[in-house]
Amino acid sequence: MINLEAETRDRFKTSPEYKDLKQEQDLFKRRIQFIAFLTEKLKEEGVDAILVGGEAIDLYTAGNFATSDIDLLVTNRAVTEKLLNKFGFGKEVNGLWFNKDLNIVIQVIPEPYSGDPARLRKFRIKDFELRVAAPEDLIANRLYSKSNPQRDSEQAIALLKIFADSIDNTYLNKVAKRDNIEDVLAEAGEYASKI
Amino acid sequence: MLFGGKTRFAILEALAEAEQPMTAYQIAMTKGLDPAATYRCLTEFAEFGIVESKIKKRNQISYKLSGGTGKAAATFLRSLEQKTSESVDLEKWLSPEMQAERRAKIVRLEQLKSSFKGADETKGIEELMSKRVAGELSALIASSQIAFNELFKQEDGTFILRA
Repeated sequence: MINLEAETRDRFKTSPEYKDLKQEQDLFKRRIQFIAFLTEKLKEEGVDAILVGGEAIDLYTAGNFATSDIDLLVTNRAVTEKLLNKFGFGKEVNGLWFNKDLNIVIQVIPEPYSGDPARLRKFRIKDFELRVAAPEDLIANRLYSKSNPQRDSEQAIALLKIFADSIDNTYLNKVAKRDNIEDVLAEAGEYASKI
Repeated sequence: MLFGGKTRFAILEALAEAEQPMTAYQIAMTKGLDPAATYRCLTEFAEFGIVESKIKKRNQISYKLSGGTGKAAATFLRSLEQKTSESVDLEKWLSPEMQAERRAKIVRLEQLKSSFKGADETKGIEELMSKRVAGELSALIASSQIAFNELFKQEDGTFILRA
């Protein structure tokens, strides 16, 4: 009997895209290149994907605020996981998908997207398009998160500083009010303006 | 990386030590750098507000550290020098691996503390940021801005990875 999944995995391993990824020594570039490629393949399957969380911040800071895994929000988890499996990823006990060859870890997050879809930023990585959570939504998310206050605050401050000229403060304040983080946003904004 | 690389580090060091503005050539001669590379780095620093430039007599451009990011970078360098007895490899210090290592130490310390006095959620930003070496976050942010612009160009609202 022919194992179709194994055959697809082998086909991916001999594809020009895979060769390209393996040749890329810079892990930051390799990650964004793969996630853009994956997003495109998901689109072909009718699945929308948005890069959120730490990897989105890593992208906006060009790898200076590195993260361990890639958070990808998708409209169809089952199709995404099937595709990851075809691309040589295995599911770990903690639910993360890991590809040892590429040294890439992905967390698949099901809908809904808590940010404003109209504000997503577009990136073009080689021939593939990638949609990324807006800085305003990432800032609010980091300040709301309680998982790692040191890291989350630093990332929020970094985005506030980097996008100081283009941030939509009206929208950000509205989100902060919704999430009850107005005080911490004001504090982070003040800190960002001082450094 | 913005503050990585010997030339960039040496330029910042020269300007932090200088009592008055210096030209690119003076900096290059003081630190034994390539004048063209020194000029290129200074132009980049000026673009991101790390240094301020002024045109002197005979169209010579002199540079000094800016009051905000520039001074923060200098503070960061001094902090590192005080922290380590060996010569500072700034590129290594700012690498994602070293950052992750330092952040892990901070998190471990916080976890230890929180097991005694509860969660860390109520701490203010100033208190959280005080665990960083002075000027380090500012240096990382400026470095991120430059690296992002080196990697991507913007066209019709889309960020395109440069070839």
